[in-house]
Amino acid sequence: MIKNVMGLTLVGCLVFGLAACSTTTVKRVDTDTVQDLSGNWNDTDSRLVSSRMVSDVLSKKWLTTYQVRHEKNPVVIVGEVRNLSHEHINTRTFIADLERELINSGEVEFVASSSERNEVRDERDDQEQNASQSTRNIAGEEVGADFMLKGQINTIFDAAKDTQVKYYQIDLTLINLKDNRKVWIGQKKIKKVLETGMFR
Amino acid sequence: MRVLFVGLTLAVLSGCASYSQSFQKVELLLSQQKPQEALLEVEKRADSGKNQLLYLLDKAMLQRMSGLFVESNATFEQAKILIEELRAVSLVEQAGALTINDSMMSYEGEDYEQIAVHIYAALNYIELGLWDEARVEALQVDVLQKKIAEDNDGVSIEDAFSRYLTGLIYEQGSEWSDAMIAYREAYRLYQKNKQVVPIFLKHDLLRLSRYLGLDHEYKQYQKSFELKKTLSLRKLKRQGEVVVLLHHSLAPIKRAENVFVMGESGVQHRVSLPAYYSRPSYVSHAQLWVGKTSIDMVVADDFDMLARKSLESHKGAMIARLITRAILKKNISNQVSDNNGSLAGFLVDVASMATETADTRSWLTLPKNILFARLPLQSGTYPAKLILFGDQGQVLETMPLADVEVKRGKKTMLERTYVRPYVSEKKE
Repeated sequence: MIKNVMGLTLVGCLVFGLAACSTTTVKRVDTDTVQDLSGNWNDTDSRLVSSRMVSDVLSKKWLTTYQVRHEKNPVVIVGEVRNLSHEHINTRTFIADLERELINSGEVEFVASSSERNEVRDERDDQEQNASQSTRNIAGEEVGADFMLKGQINTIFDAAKDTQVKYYQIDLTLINLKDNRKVWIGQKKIKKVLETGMFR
Repeated sequence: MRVLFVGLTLAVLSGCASYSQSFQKVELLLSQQKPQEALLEVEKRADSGKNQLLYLLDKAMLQRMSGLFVESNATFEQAKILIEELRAVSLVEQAGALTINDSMMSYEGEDYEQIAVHIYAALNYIELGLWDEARVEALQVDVLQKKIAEDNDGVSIEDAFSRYLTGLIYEQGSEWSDAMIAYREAYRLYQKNKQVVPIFLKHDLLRLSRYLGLDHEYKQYQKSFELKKTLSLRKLKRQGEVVVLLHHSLAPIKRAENVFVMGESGVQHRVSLPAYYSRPSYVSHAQLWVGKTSIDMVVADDFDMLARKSLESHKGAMIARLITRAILKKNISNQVSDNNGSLAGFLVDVASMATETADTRSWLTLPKNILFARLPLQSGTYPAKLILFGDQGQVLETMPLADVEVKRGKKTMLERTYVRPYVSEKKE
């Protein structure tokens, strides 16, 4: 009897041990799938916030006012989105999401950000030297932006025992580069409640 | 047969050298100023088991000593996730700790070590020029301190410097009221830990309380600090500031000590308790020179003290657990000798004695303490150096710092590590 039990236990242990070193499995999912793992800021938050913000900024009066007055679409540049939250958030993907939504709307025009501009200028300098006359792009023809989109991500974090509440507030401001007037302020809030287990 | 099996298992388990013993080589390499080689040595011993956290912490620390700040922070992030996971209790490990020894539990890190993760992660971000990311760490320190206080019913060991550093980070972002709150908290903790309050903190409290119009508080600080002159915030904003940290020596090391304690029924039990041994203290004081100006550095963080206090605060619970375990082991051996004869019982006794080793794990690559100075200067580029003095007042070493660029209204931070060959260790 004891032998049997010991034998079974041994087999069990072996199976368990083998299972522990099984290889990594990969499952591809659609990028729109909502998957909350740790409760931290994730791709879903970035996507949701950027799309809502962009639909808000495009539906407000400043845009039509500008379009009517100047008979063209405004040129926008995305400035810094400061991360003032409790988490290390990759603001670059958030900014990229914003830019994509804005450009695809067709309502605004976009210019490259300051870091991108430097690279483009280097290329133009290079063309000056090496490109043929007919294909050369000359300096001093850049389009200046009319508005700058800036923002920040803030959080309020509260925890007691095994429950945590995370509150994110994302504020974006559209500033007229000519006179520093703020023409639009957008705000989006996300609240998450997390319960952590007692045992592992 | 079964007895032999139990005996063997126990003997095998105790065969692992204690954590603190296996650290010698890393320490030697550090004392020879070869952090890259020390990093390779630690990476050889990659651990995904019960010491995984220690592995990550040592690795992150050696990465930053080797100048790999981005990699160091990636490792610190892994450590943070692991700490979160280990907050939940494992029943299997608890049972192991109760029957074999405390090293059967995953190392979760002492409170002060968990805070130090954020201190060093923040310093990494500052080294990379990412002050906003350092600010994230400052907020995380705040959350963690609150959690620790809640878990320990307010009697926790708290690191004053973590608060001081957060104050500095807020100041860099011109967030004066947040900085004031952090400095105030740092002041409270320095006093609570019976540490010398750094003179820089006194100036900071005076400067900010005055600027924020906290007149009553300002007068109180004036009275208790008796400092002659504090630079006003308006004047400081027109200058830059050099901030220097010297990570000095290494954190104390735990060794096992056998102690006999009296059980309930008057039976003596041999238990193995960890005790801290300090690592050498080379530098007794240090001076920062920037251009033609010099200032004395002060001890702003004292991991030696925090480690000892932390161990002391657990000691009661630890001894209770040790006695329970000793009684449990004795009962097993009694049962075995009743059923299988006294030789078998003796074997179990030997095995249980052999496995009764103290948990000597701790984060050993932390420094013993941090010497600190900040110096306001007009913007410009200055040559800078540190002069380190031994306890006889002799000059130990002059450490050149790269030319410092001071920018108006901004802080420039510089860090150095000082670990030298091992001389002797002192218990107290």
